[in-house]
This record gives sequence, C-alpha cells and structure tokens, in this order.
Amino acid sequence: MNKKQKRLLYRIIVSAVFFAAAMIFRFEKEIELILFLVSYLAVGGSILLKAAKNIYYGQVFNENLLMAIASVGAFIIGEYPEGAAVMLFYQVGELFEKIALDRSRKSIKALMNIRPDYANIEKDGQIIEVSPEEVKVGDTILVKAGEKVPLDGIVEKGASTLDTSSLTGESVPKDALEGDAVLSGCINISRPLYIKVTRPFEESTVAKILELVEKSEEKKARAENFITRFAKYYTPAVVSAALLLAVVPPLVANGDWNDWVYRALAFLVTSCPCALVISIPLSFFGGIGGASRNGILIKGGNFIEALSKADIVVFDKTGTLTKGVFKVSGIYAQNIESADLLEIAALAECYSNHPISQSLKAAYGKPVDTTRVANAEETAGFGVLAEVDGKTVLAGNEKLMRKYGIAFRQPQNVGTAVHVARDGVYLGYIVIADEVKPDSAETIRALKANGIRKTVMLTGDVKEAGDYYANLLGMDEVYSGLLPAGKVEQVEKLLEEKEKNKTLVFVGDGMNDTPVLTRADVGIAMGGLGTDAAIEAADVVLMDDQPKKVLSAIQLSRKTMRIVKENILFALGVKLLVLLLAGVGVADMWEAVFADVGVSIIAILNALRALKISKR
Amino acid sequence: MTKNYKLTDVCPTCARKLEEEIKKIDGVLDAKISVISEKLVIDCDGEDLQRILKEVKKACKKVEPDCVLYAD
Repeated sequence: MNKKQKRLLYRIIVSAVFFAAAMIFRFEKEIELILFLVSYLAVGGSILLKAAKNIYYGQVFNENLLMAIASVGAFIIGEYPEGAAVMLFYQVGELFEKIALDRSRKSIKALMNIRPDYANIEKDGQIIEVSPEEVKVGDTILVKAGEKVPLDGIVEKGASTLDTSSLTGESVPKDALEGDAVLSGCINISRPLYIKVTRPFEESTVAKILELVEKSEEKKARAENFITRFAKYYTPAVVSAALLLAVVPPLVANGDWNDWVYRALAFLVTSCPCALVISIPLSFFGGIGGASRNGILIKGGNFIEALSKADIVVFDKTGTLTKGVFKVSGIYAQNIESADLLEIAALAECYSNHPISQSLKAAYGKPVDTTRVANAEETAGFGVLAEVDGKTVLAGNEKLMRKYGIAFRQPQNVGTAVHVARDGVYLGYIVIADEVKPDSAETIRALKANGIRKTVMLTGDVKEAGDYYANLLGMDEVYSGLLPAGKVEQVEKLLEEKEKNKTLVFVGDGMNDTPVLTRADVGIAMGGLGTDAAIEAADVVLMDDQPKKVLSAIQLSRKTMRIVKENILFALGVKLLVLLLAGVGVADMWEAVFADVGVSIIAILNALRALKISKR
Repeated sequence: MTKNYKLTDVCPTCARKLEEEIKKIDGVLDAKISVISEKLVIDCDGEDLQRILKEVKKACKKVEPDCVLYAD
C-alpha cells in the first residue's frame, strides 16, 4: 500500500468505528445522525469536495458526483445508515480496487523485468559501470557471473552458460562459447564473459521486446472496444433512468416520493462501469505479459482474439517444421564399407563450399586430410571429379553418373542423393536430408486435438519431399514447389476456405515469407528477433524456433479470451440484475453497493489469472 | 515530437475523457493514456511545450482532481 492508500484505510477505519457504534447501540435520533454524519464525512469528505470541483468544471457524469448525490439523497430522505454505508463501502471498494490494480501492475512489471541497469566496460585499465545506452557498437563489455547480459553481441573471450528463460521461457541453460552470438536479457550463470557489442541498445533484443509489449496496448481487441463504447453510454443511461424512476411514478401513478427516490439512489450507486472497463485491458495485458515470459511476443489484444479463433494453421516447411539443416540420413554402400564410402565422398568434396559437402564433412566428423586429394574439379549442377589417393573419384548427382556412363541405383529415400564412383566402379550413394524438429509431429497432433480443423504445409521443395514430410508429420494438406508468390496465392485460397468468424494462422521462420505473414489473419514468425522485416510483418514473434510454442500461443489466447468473456458476462449480468431488483424495490442500497464493489473486485482478480498462464 | 509522462490515479473512464480534453489543446496532435502502465504519451508540434504542459495539467485537474502528472 502506498501513502495515499494507507490514509484512505485509516479514514475507513475511523468511519467504520462510528458507523458500528451508531448501528449497535441505541441513541437519541439526533446523536445517531451525528454519528452517521461523522462516519460519512470521514470517508466521503474528499468525494464531496471532488464532486464540487466536478460541478465547477461541468463534469456531470463523474462517479464522484454520482456517489455524492446518491449518499446525500439518502440522508435527505432520512435513510442515514444507507447514506453512510454507501460511501463507506464505496471507499472500501475503491481501496481494494487500487490495491488489486497495483498488484497486477507490479506482477506485470516483474514479468517484464528484463531491462538491464548497467553494462561493465573497461576504461583506462579499470572496469566501470555505464548505462547500456552509452555503449557503442564494437565496444567490449564484461558480463560477470550472475549478471544480466545488457546488449547483444558476440563472445570474444570466455566460456559460460546462459539462462535464457526470461526471453524464451526455456529453463535449459545454453552454452556460450567464443564466437557465439549472445542476446541481451539472458543471465550469465557460471563464468565471466567478454562480449563484443554488435547492436546499440535501442536495437537490442531487450529493447525490441519491451517496445513490442508496450506498444501492444495500442492494438485493441474488439471485446475491449465494445466495453469502451458500452461505458460511454452506460453511465448517462443509468443516470437518466434513475431520474425518471425518481420523478415519474410519484407524479404519474401517485407513488410514494421517498420510496421511488430511494430506488433511484440505488440506481446511481451502480452507475460506474470503471472496474469492468479496466478488467478487460488488464486481462489482455496480463495475457500478453504472461506470453512474453514464455518466449511468445504478441503484438496486441486483437491478435489474442484472432489466435483464439484459429481454424486453419499453415506452416512453412523448411526452418519451421524442419530444422533447415541438412544432414546425412543414410549411406547405401555397394562393394565397400559405409564408413569408407563416406570418407571417399568427404575427401572428394573437400574443396567445395556447397551445403551438401558441408553436411558430408560434418558426418565424416574427422579433419579432412587434403593432401590425399588432387585435381578436384567442380561442375555446378553435377558434382565433383577429383583424384583421391591417386584414384579418380566421381561424387555427385544422377546427371554426373550418366555423363560418365556409370550405372547407379535409384534411391528410394527423400532427400538429396550423392552418388559415388571410383575408377569407373559404382560404390553406392549417400542421402542428405533435412531433419524434422523433435516437437513438430507432436505439435500437429495436439493442434488437431485442440480443435484446429486443418493443418497445412507449404514448401518450395519438390512434391516427393513435400509429401514425405507431410505424411511423416500427419499434416492434412501439403502444397509443394511453391515460390514466395505462390505461397501468398495458396494462403489466399485457404483464407476463403476457413469457417466464418474463424481465422487462419501462418507460421514461418521469417525467411522470404514476409508477404505471407502479412496476408494471414495472424502471422507468426519463428526464431526470435533475427530478421527485422519479419518482425515488422509478423503479429506474433516466437523467441525460439519450437513449433510447440504455436500451440501454447493458441491455448493461452483462448484462456485470456475466456477470462475476458467471463468478466463481461458476469459484471454486466450482476449489474443488470441489481438494477432490475432495485427498480422493482427488492434490492436496497446496501445490496446495490455490495454488488457493485464485489463485482469490480472479482473481475480484477479474475483478470489477474491471465497473467498466470506462463507458470505451467 | 512525442513526450512521455507518468500519471497516477486515473480510472479508465476518466482516462478516455482526459484524452479527449488533451487532444483539444492547441498544438497537441494526439494523446494516448495507458491506465495499466499509468502513462500519458502526447504527440505535439514542439513549439510551446511550457504552455502545452500547463494546459495538460489543467485538463488533469478538471477531469480527475486526484490525478498527479510528472515527467517520465
């Protein structure tokens, strides 16, 4: 509690004591009135003052003024306990609301506590602390064990492990060795690291995340706009209804003035929609905060809304569902040992920079002895001709084999085959294929189990490869051989296919798929804050490249939306019910104020649940 | 240019009214209030900042007397 809140609490206690005294003991009527008035003024004095200021400024539909009218009115018609109680409970409610709101602000702030306070740089042989904004690109900073990495950079000296959980939500520590890129916001766990800064603070990962989350408040969901519009009309409507209620029945139907005025005052008590209004953006902000802690950056409440209605989820293949890293997946040797075949291929290809030769070398695993290779000659689109240990070796695709008239086996596997022949004798082939990410298949299954109607894969690869991976992962549909423009076209077709009021989600790794990211209802870019264009175009950015985060994003969006809907329905329902009961004279002012304050607090507490999504 | 301020004790309804009031001030192009992060962002043509700030403070007092405004 801050100072203001404490002062309010003391006033409430004083007021409650006088109120209780007046209620419990029997006094003369005049003394009772004085006790109630003291109780009333202790909590309500400030409200009356503000109400007076509101009148002066012409702010009629202000909650202070309305509460003042309701309570003063109660005193005038002789309902002293009600007059005092309304103000007392209203202030108790205000206090609770403020505390709950402060709490949630603090939790969100704690969640977003990734901003580094300082960076250590060496100056004149001494280590000094400077603000991260002052560090320039190319400077070397020292990050000691236990400290936050303040800026993005590359490890220049030292080896340590990093805790990336505040960025990705993953608790497995990551190694940081010399030459590795390091993101700001991580925490250095074990040993000091010297890091060469590659980006100024304003462009660092931390700064970008904070900016995204802060800006997310601007993009409002439909539910939020609805409540704002509703609030605009609600107060004037209730106040007008109260006025009619107080005047019309006594005049027209000869009703009792006191009775109808009392009912009207009960109306005024429920006329402020503030708590309901704030519980909605609070839920969205909580959801966005919780998600960001999980490595899922959502750019606005509107995208939470859209994600929760996902119907079709479209994935890019390479780099999204597969690792995009080519590895030797099979060796099919003929007349030779597998290991020897791999060695010959790796040697023959040792001078090539083609990704395939990189994969061969990686699979070989030993340093290549280049002295064994001579006269290596690469023909683009065919392969390599080289002398290995003095023998002529061919390593390449089918076209190369045909060119030299060598009979080869037709591979049955998906991937790229490298055929090898030595001195005119066919030795077999090696298959190099992209690897599926470990959680891809599970994610597709879980998406289907969670009510996603269709999962689709788009790829630039040939049909065989596309079909193979789609089958392996259990996708509903696959479209192969697509260029970036073709992907947009396909997504547009799928957009027409989706169910009404549902959405299409596209997931890509941000390479060459910005147009598709923009075109989809929700564009999810994977792999963190690598390419700026993708981050601009995407609506959701995943800090790491695990497909399962797509599922988490959809699930937490649904949970947030459920909370939002609960709050709208519950708060509106109770308010309308109380209005109805007060109108027909069943509910009195006590019940009205209880309902109003109670609903506010429950709605705010419910909104806080959105924040807790991450703690799974 | 944009100016950032912190502000306390605004309810969502007052925040909306306050936004409207601030937008009416001469030289202010846009105003946004976030109740959750208790922030006011004003987009203005940086000619007479002193006067604009004064009028913003006046608007605060008018809509919600409890509201306190200070530089971020």
